[in-house]
Amino acid sequence: MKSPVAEPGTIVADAAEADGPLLSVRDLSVTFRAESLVRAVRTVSYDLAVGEQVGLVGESGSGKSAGALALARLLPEYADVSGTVTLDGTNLMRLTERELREVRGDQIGIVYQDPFSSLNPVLTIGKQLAEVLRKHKRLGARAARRQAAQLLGSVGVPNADDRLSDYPHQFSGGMRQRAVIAMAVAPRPALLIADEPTTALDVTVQAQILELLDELTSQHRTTMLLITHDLGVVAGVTQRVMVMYAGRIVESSTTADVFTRASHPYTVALHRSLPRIDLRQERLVTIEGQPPDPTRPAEGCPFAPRCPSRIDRCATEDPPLMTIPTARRATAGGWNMTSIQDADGVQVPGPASPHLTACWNPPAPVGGLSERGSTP
Amino acid sequence: MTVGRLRRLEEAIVPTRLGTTLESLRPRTFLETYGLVVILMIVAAVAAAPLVAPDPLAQDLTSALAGPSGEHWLGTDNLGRDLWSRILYGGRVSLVIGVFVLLTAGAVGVLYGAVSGYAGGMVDAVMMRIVDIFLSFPSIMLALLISAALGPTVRNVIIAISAAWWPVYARLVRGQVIVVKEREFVTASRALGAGPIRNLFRTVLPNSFGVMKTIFVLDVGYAILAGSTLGFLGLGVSPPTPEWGYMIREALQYPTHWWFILSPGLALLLFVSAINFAGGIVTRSVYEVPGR
Amino acid sequence: MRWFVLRRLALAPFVLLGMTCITFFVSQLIPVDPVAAYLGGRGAAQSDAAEQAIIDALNARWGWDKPIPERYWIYVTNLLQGDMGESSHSARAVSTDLANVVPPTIELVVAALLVAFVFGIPLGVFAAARRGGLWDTAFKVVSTLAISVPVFWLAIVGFTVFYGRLGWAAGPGQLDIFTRPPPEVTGMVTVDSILARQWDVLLDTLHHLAFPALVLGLVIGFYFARVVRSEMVDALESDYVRTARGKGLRRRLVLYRHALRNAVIPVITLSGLAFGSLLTGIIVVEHVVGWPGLGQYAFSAATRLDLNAIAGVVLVISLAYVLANLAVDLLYTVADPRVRDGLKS
Repeated sequence: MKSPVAEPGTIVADAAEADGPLLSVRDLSVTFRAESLVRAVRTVSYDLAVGEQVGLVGESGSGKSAGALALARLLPEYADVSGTVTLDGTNLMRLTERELREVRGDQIGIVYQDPFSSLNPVLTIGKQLAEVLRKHKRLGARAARRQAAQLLGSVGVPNADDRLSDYPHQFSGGMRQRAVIAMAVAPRPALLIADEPTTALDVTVQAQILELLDELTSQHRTTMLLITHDLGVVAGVTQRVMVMYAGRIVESSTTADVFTRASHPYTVALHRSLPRIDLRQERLVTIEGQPPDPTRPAEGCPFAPRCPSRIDRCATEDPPLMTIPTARRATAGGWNMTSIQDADGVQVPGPASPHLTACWNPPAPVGGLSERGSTP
Repeated sequence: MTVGRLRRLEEAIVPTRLGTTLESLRPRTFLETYGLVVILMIVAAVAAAPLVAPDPLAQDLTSALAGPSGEHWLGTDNLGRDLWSRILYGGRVSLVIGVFVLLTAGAVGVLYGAVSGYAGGMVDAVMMRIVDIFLSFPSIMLALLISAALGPTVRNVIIAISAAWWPVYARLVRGQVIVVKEREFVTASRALGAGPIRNLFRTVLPNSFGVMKTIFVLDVGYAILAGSTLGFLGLGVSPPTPEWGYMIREALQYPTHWWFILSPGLALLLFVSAINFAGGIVTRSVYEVPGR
Repeated sequence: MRWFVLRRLALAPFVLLGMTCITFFVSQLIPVDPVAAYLGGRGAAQSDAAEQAIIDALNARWGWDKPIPERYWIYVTNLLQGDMGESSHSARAVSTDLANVVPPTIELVVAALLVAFVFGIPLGVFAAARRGGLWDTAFKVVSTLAISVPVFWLAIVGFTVFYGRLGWAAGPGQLDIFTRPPPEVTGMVTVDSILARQWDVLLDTLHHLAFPALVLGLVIGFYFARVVRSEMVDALESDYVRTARGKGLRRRLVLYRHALRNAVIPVITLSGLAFGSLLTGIIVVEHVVGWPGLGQYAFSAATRLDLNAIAGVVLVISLAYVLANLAVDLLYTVADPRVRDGLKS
């Protein structure tokens, strides 16, 4: 891994010089104005490089979907979004609706969680596909239809020509999700957001859809943000993983690192709850306790009430993302908040950032694949 | 437009208990507050009519068709009767019609629907076909026919409108009773030895009342409108008694005396719209299941 | 889909036959004495021999002296031959009367529904697109007033202002008194004047039609708009609308192609159901502007206890209701592909 005492921000800067992050998110917060305020996402920052496939993992309610949809400003009006989202040098939060429409669908493609409700039931698949092409590729009706058929075929829908005039209810769940993917990738977006793309599907279909996403994004060097609650889903597809808990990123590293040396107690717990082939388990281990109430943000680390390795400090101070050695030293007592910030600055997960964890007392590296994995 | 509402309500059936906490009945928007305040003001003014207004029947032909003035706030009608007073007393008639139509049609409909739904089987089938017959007969024709046959009195107007409306309530209540009677607490109550009648009245009915409450409140407004429509057509309340619909009919011949025709119409609009504005309060208290 | 339509069409006559049964019994079983009503009294209290002779003659003429089952049999057999009996008030065949009054009402209803759809649906979409905003609140206030206003009063005040004061609206009836009606083909003056190529007559009758159609259309239109708004608000929060927005589609496409296509489906159902309750509006509006249609006829039949005429009116309304619902079913299959494939009943 990289030097633990790197200068603040340098690593990110290096990456930016090399390729420039495609997407740069800073201090993104999402608050829903419901009966009371629901703080779904709390000052999240990260970078995505061109061509990267990154997983965003967390249980439902962790804010991962809200955070992803906020990137394209697709949340309902009762959601307040703050922070900056820079895509290819443009701050999306500053754009007008009209300008944003040129970005949505064209530069950002989105695959939604539920293919049963995300397709319009009264329009044909062909029409829904063609309208993206007509909008962003400025194609005529005929050319759009021809290309729509091609696209539908390329995502693995058999007899694509005939099926264009079918309605969504005439498609199976897997086929619908393929159609949604075709719509998302139609104008060759630079960023593909896949929001739990396999959750609503049968297990057998899940693998096919993941394979398709992997294939399409690697083929065109599309950056993919794959959102899921299932660590197993990110394992085969992504290079990097960010773990979210209670609206914050609590751990970030390469996929291999997160699997072999998880360093946040929540990630460790997530691993434990994965079904495993190599261990004969009587039953799955579930994480005890409930995620915190997002309407009443508690003081200290939000995971503390459920955490097996909590220390006194967890109850009063919310840990920032830090490199692991720093976190270790913090536990030893020689460091306080100020000195950590002096040393590390604010650590932002990015393509070349070190293994980061938001924990005062990170457990010894534990991984789903025990210790035989190696650092990349 | 009763039928349209019927469909929506039937779809949205959420059986709830009759009891409503005061908290859920608190108006939340400006319009709800406005509606509630206007309703209360109208009810108060109408109740206090003898104290604040002169005799609505006193004729004074020398000051007939006089415009609004300090003496006659809303002017006078063609017989020189004070319009302010006639509006207030007319409000009593409208209020009585609105409330009693709902009580009559509601009582008949609830009882009929409850028995039909609770009995089920053949009894239910036959009882519902009878309801269908009534529903397929245009309600305004039925009301016109009955009030033409019975003669123009407040009581008969109430009977005429109730006869046209009860089948709607019967259908709604039956739908709810069918849903509720299969629920655990009803089965439990039966298991505890409650007889069918006790069960129906103590357990099933109170739990089927949620939707009824909404339409009861909103329909008071429509019942007032229906009563005034009959009055306007000359089939409502008989002449000397002040009634808003009939006042509009009388004013028809004096189109240039704007205060004559405006005041009863505006009174109706004010009252009915206030009920509709405030209606959201009741609707919400029904559809917002506690804890959701 | 064709099978579905055919089945519906095949069922329609049976539904109508059931309707005749209902209308007959309801109109015949009302506890009133139609003869007495015709003679002007309430209850045949007169025992004068001459009076009695008249009463007997009337009873025999209208067939009231026969027992009810026999009367029903006569009614239905006559009805199948197009004979609905004689109106006790006009002393003409009810079928003749209806042929005169139904066409003007068809014109009025079609025009009113046109007005209602043309402004009601876009208005509902407009309010839903700005839900929670100032315009939406304004819409809520105005539409609540519109569904609370007594239609007859609105018609009178409007007529007084636009005809009496401003002279914009045309006077009572379908045509000016000096305009010669076009040769009668359909009985609908608009259609007949087009057929006869009498454009000045067409303009005149459209001028007369405008006011009642606007009043009726306005009230129904606001009702539609409220339904459209509430359905649109649901649709706009749906996942497929989010998908459409995620594609970067223009706002208008999202609203009309994606959301409204779905929101309009319940509106179709409602307009079929609302058709039955249109009658109240028709009666009062025709009454106020002197439109020679079914509404006025129905009103006079009901107030005069003219039982054959009442049965005729109810039958016509039932027929309209059945046809409207058939049209709704057809529209439904066009609007919702899931219905076409029998996924939804």
